[in-house]
Amino acid sequence: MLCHDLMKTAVRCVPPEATVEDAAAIMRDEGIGFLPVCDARRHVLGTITDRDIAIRVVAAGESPAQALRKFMTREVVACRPGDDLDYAQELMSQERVSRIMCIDESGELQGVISLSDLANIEGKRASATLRDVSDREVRP
Amino acid sequence: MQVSEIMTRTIRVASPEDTLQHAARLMAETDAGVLPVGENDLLIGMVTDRDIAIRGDARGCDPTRTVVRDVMTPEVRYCFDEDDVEAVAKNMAQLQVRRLPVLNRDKRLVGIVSLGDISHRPDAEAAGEALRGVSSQSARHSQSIE
Repeated sequence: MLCHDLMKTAVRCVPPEATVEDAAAIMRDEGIGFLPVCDARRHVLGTITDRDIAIRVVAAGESPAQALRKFMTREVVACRPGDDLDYAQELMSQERVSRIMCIDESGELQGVISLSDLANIEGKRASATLRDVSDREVRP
Repeated sequence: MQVSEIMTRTIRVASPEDTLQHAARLMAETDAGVLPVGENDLLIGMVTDRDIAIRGDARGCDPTRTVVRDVMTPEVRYCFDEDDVEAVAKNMAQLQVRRLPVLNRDKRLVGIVSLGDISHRPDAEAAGEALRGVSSQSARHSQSIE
């Protein structure tokens, strides 16, 4: 199975100059917890999650009227839509992320695959990735 | 295997009168995405990083004024420390949650169990099943691992 067989293609993006407030409102209205931050050509510059907002903005006492550019995660874990799903899953385990961007040769975002998507095709496989990803969480 | 053997024991608990900013700081310290909310030693709700981000920072909200009670999920699902892990995993799938607070027989909060904890079991099928169950619809609570 290839990434483009599974990836979600209707992905909402936001520009880097959008504010944290804007992103929070989109997440609330659309019931999502994750947004890729893209330029006008849909090149991924970073990502932002509801958790990022809670930790980097609310906990830190920062104003949410600031641009996402300041708070987004710049490291982007990506694969090509034509890559094998096994490769994508391996990368997610290694990088300990629960989502991977599917980006084509011209650098445009074509889709996103999440851990939940993997779970829907094969429960056992997703467990291994889940274990790797959750190792990243600090255990007191 | 009992839940007590795999759960996370040392947990921060938010009070319902804590500001969202304070709760966010607790979450940042523990690297957890969900906090139990306790009053008089009893569990009265759960608050997630999503609750804080969306209710704390959407326009017009002030996270130094809004308190946990305003945004928490008040009805609490939980399990007991003596419950069987496999049964709890199935329950979590049915309830559509990725984490459950764990109570002891006196109904005191003693820990939290997550799909991540369950996945570290030798038999990881339980976590796979649970995750599939949780992913099959949009989660009712935003207790997301993502």
